[in-house]
Amino acid sequence: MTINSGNPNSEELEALFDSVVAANQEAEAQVRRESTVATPVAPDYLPASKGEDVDQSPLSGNHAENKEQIRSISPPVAPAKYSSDMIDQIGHMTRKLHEALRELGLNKEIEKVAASIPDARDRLNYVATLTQQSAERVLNATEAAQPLVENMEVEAHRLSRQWQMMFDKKLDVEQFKKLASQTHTFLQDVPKQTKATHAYLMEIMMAQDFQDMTGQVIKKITEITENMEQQLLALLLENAPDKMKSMPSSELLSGPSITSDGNKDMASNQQRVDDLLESLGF
Amino acid sequence: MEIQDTRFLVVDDFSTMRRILRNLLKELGFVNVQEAADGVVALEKLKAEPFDFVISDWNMPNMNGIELLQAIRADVMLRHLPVLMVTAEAKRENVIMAAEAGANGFVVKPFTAATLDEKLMRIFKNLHD
Repeated sequence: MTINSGNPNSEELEALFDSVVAANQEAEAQVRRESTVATPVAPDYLPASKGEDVDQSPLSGNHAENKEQIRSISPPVAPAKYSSDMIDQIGHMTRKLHEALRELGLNKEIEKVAASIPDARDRLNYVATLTQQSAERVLNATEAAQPLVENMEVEAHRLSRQWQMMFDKKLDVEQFKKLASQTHTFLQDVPKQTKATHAYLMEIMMAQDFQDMTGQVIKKITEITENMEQQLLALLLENAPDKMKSMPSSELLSGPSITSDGNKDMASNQQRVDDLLESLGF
Repeated sequence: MEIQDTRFLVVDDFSTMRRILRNLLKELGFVNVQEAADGVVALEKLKAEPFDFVISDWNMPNMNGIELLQAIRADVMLRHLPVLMVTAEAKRENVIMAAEAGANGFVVKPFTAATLDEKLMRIFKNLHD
């Protein structure tokens, strides 16, 4: 599910976003023409990401490291002047942004958005932990159940062959007595083994309970991300050139409100909930 | 009526959780189990045919678990039904709200088969006392 799905304004917002970005780029180009050389925002000498990048999960945090590796492979063609110009420009933009934020009182909004990022991060960590725990529970139970099933299979085959020999009249009385006794033992043992296997199957089933929890968490993260997008878009709009300001902006600021649950008030384990209910007389 | 004949309605928007609950109930000897994906569907089913027990999630679209619980308690035909809340909403105010709305039990997700068993048995015991 993408962030914008189900948002009827998404196309409108995207178009607005694009036009604001375009206007800003024009303004930047103006700045660039004033300096001696054009400063590429994304260095052209970086090769398009190839094999190394493909396997990287976006959560691994190794992206920067990869770029570093790629850079060390390719000859550094950019003169030092480029990067100092770029740093100047970024510094200048940061200062402008900072002042604009303060003037507009938007820093409070941005602070709120920034505050929701650790919350989203915690939630994502929670999803990662739950899914990992679940995968381990499933693998452990499977590995524990497999030998039980295999042993039963082997023993059943062995006894079956013996019985075939009996039907072929190849067993004497003593061998038959032994076979009957072994078969009886096996039949007594099978329910114990199937019961144990059943318990492992239940364990595998219970390990799927993460799906409902992670589903809810991911939904909340989607809300947080959507709010961040709204706030950033509002910021962009406030800083847009005058000709863009006639566009309606009020609805942009009324993004979905985030109810940041926090953890302090969580009665998260059964015991505490039970105690609480008991104290309430239930 | 034998306790094993209890007709359950399991209400949860996640099909995985409904299946888990159904399987756990089967494990505990209860085979008469139906499912509903939210409070609205649940209420329709409850009004259409007889049930003896409701197990409901809290956080659901259309009509959440607490609204379902309130609707059940407000309905003369349904108000006697035991309702067990099974939910990840484990904040204090949730627990208090559920208790005040007339829930018969509260199980916090994730839970074990033993916890579910214990809560069910306690509710059955209270019903028959």
